[in-house]
Amino acid sequence: MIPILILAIEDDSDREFMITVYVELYPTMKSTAYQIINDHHATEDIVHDAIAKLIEKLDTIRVLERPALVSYISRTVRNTAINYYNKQMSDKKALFYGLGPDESDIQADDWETPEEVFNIKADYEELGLAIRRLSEKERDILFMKYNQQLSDQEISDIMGIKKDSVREYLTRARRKAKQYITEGGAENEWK
Amino acid sequence: MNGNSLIWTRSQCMEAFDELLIKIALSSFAELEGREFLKENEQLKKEPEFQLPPDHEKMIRNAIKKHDRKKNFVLVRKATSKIITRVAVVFLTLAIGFGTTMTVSAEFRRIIYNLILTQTERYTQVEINREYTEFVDSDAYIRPGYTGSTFAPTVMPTGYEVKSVEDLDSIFTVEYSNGKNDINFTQIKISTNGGIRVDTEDAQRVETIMIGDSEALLVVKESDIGVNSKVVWRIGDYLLSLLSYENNPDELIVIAQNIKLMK
Repeated sequence: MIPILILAIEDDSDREFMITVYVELYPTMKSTAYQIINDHHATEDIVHDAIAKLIEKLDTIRVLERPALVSYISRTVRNTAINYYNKQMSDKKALFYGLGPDESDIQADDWETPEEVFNIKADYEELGLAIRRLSEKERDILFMKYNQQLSDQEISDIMGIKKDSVREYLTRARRKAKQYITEGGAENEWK
Repeated sequence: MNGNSLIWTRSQCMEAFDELLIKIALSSFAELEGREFLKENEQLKKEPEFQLPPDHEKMIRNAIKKHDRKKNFVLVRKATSKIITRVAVVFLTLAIGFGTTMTVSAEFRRIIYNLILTQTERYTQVEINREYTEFVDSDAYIRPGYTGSTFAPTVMPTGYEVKSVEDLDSIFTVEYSNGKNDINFTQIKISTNGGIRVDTEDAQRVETIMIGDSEALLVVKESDIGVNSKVVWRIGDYLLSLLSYENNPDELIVIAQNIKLMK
């Protein structure tokens, strides 16, 4: 199946890029999918589906630096796996993120708080560490919205929630992200 | 936020700033987790359940080669048809005594016209750098039900064997491999509107050479997956081509010069 997907790429350079991505990052892609669905056979299908999505985003991903590219690819696989999981489990009324209220407040405290105090000139890496403090669900939805530029409908499909709820989840995740970014800062000129 | 206003309020500015800050933070986090994924990827490569089968990449590349060949054949059916039509127009124009300028004047087309229309006495010096083996795999060239002519190479560089055969009636391809490189020999019956597209754009080398009594086109071109070499020529109603995924045009010329009519 993979060769057929890759064959669909007209541009030689894009095609070579996707082969390299697939061959080089296959372990991470498979592992990412496996962590969510725990089924080696199904992970193959998920990786294939993710490759199809990545091919559609070639213009976006080709300009990314290597670490950001790996993150994007891994998150595409993750979204695909979550979507697959939710579809498989829909009859059991069990979604990947759970059906109950957002537990982000509890999970957020599990993350180590950056020691350094945030301010407007904060180190670039520290901003990333603030995102790490978010719950998986909050982080995922922010990535879907900002990095992967998915529509609310696409996000709702992946997460297994109503489209109307996406905005609510996003607002909550943004608020929490802002809180973690600003928490460390004693003086916030922009607040 | 009022998109029509050129002046933002303080709260609008703050809102935009928040958004930007979150984007920067996400970008930073993507780099952090990407570096972690890369480390993890190196570890996972050692675990059998997360490895690709060893020959998977080769399988993909072989599939691409095959796909490219098929795509080229399809694309050129129309192109060849147009060329033949234009050739007919040129003949007609000359016959009635009017000078004309062909609008299809690219180098590629000129050479293709020569392939179709002319035979000259030019010959090309060929150096033989590799050992060759007399080679006729008659089984590969048995084509039940096919009534046309079939050509086959009688020598191949030592180590090459038939890897696959693809018979589409008017287009017949035999793929040879030595385990490291593949050489494809294709023959197309052009009277059935078949043809072959030769991509000469940005080629390292484009020459006309002689294969027997026929003028041939030699192309060496770099692509993203490496250099490939092609020789294309015509015998009667057949266009023949040799394609190799190495920079070995001299080898292709030797093979081409030793291709014989099987029936």
